Amino acid sequence: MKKVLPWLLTLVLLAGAWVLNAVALPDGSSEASFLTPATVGHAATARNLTLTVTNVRAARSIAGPTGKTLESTWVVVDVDAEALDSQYGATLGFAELTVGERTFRATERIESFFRARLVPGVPRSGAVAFELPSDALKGTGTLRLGIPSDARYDGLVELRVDLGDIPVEDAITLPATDWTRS
Amino acid sequence: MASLIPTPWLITAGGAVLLAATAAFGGLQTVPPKPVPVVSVGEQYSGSDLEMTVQGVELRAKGGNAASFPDKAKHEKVLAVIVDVVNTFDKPRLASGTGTPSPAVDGIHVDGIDEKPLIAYADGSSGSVWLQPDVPVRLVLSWVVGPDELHDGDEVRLTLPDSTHSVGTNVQRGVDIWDEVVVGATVTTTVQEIPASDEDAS
Amino acid sequence: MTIPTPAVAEAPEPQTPSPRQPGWWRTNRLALIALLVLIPAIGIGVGWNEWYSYYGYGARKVTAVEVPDKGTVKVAGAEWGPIRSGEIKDTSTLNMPEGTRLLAAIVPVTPDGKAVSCEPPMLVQQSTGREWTPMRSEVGIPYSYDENDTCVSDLADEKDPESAQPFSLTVGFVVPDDVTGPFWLDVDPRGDGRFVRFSIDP
Repeated sequence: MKKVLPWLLTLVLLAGAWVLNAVALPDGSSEASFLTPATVGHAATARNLTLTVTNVRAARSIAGPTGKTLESTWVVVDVDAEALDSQYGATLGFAELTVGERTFRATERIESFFRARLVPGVPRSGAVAFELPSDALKGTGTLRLGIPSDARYDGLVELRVDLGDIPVEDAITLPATDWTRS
Repeated sequence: MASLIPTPWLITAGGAVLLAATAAFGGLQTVPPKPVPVVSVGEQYSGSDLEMTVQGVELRAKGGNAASFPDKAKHEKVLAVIVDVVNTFDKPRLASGTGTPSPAVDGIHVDGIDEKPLIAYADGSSGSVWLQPDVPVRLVLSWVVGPDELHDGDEVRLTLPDSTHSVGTNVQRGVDIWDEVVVGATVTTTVQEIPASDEDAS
Repeated sequence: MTIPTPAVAEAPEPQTPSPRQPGWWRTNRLALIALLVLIPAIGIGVGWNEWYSYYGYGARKVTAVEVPDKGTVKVAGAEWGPIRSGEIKDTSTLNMPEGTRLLAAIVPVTPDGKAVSCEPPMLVQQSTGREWTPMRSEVGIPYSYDENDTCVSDLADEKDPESAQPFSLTVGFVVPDDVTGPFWLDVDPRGDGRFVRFSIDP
C-alpha cells in the first residue's frame, strides 16, 4: 500500500487539476458586468438604472431631429429610462449590440438617446441606433444598455433580439429625446 | 571521476543543430528588407485590421466638411485626403489612434507633413469617428497648410500604416492594442485644387 | 560472539522536576507583540492611503460645512449664501413631465479675490440620500448669460486674477411629486475636501 500511495495521490491531484482547469472562468471574469436580463416591453433594473426597451426595428435609413438622413443598415431601439438614486454622472453611456462575433456601438453620427441624461424617478424616452454591415440582419443579437461607458464591475441591462425577425422599414425618424409621456 | 554527461559532445551537437536551422532559413546573412508595396488611388490596402482606399487628395481654400479650419487672414489652405475605410476587426474602434506614429486611420501620413491629420466624416456627421466592424465609411483627413506649400498638380506621397494587434495583459488588461507601427504601403498621387468658388457651390 | 553484559541499572536519581521548557507563548512573545503592533499599523496605513488617494486632494465632497438658516459661510476662498429657494409652480410654458415638481434655488457667491470653481450644485433628499443635478434646456428654459449652474470666473480686471466678481448660482431640479423635503443643496468648491451644505424645504 505504501508503494501505491504516492502514485494514487499523483493521480488524484492530476484529476483535481484537470477539473479545476475545466471549470475555471476565463480571464477577466472578476471584472465582468452584472447583467440584468430584459424583454421588450418590460422594465429591468441595473445599478442606478431602470430601463424598458419598447421597440426594436430595422431600417435602411434613419433621420435625426435636424432632418439629416443617413443611409446604411440600421437597428433602432426605442428606450424609456430613468435613474434610481443619483443623477450624478447618470447618462446612458453604454449601448452595444453583439451579433455573432462582431460587436457594434450605438452611433453618434446623429443625435439620439445615446449619452442622454437620466433623472432619478423621472423617465425619459428616446432611441439609440446601431449601424451594421448590410449582411448582419440575421441571427440572435445581444443588446446591452447601461450607464457607465466602462462597464467593468458595473451593471447592464441585457436583451436578446432575433434580428431576422424584426421589421425592416425604409426610413425611420429617430424620436427626439424627451420626457416619457404615456 | 569522469563526467557522466558528455558535455563537449552536447555543445558540439547543439551548435550543429543551430547552424543547420539557420541554414534552413537562409543562412546567417541579414535578409534585405521587403520592399513596401505601392498602392494606387482607388486601390484597397489592408493594414492594422483596416481596409483603406484612398480616393483622392484635394487642396481646399475652405475646410468644407473637413475638421481643419484654415486661417483666412493668413491665406492658409486645407489639404484633404478622402479615404474609404472598413474596420475588419470584430469590435468598434476609434478612427484616431494614440501616439505618433498612429496605427489607425490618422496614421496615414503625407510626406513632408509631420502632424497627424484631423478626421471627420465626409458627409458632415459630427462627433468622434467610431468605426463599426465591417461597415464601410468615407472619411476626410485634413491638415492646415500654408498658402504656398502645395499647388494644384503637385505630386504627394502618402504612407498607409500597418501594425500588430495584441490584447493587453498587465495594466491594460483586456484592452485591444495596435502597436509596432510600420509603413504598410505608399500611395503617390497629384493634388487637386478646389477653387473657393467651387466649394461655395457644392 | 559473546552476548554483551547488560548495563547495570543505575540507582534512580532523586526525583527533581526536570527543568520545564518555556511555553510557546513565552518563547514567541517578541514576535507576538510585533504582530499585535504591525497588523493594525498596516491596516491603518493601507486604509488611509487608499482613502486619501480617493478623497484627498479636495477632489470630492468629504466634510459638510452647514450654513445657518438665511446665513452665509466662508469656504475655499468665497462667501456662499444666503440661499433663496422655492418651487416654480407655473410651468405652463415649460416642458415638464406629469407627476414632477420644478424646484429652484439661487445661491449668491462672493469670491474673496481669486475666482472659485465648483461642481454644479446637487439637490439631495435628506431622508434617502437620493440626489439630483441641475436641469435647464431639458425643461425648455432658454440659455441666459446671467444664470449659471456652475461657478464662473468673472474678473473685473482681466489682468488681475484677484479681482473676481460676485455672481449667483441659479439652478433648477426636476424631482418626482412623491419626493418631499427637507433637502440639502450641496455646492462643492474645488480645492478643498469641504463643501457647502444648505438646508432647504421648498
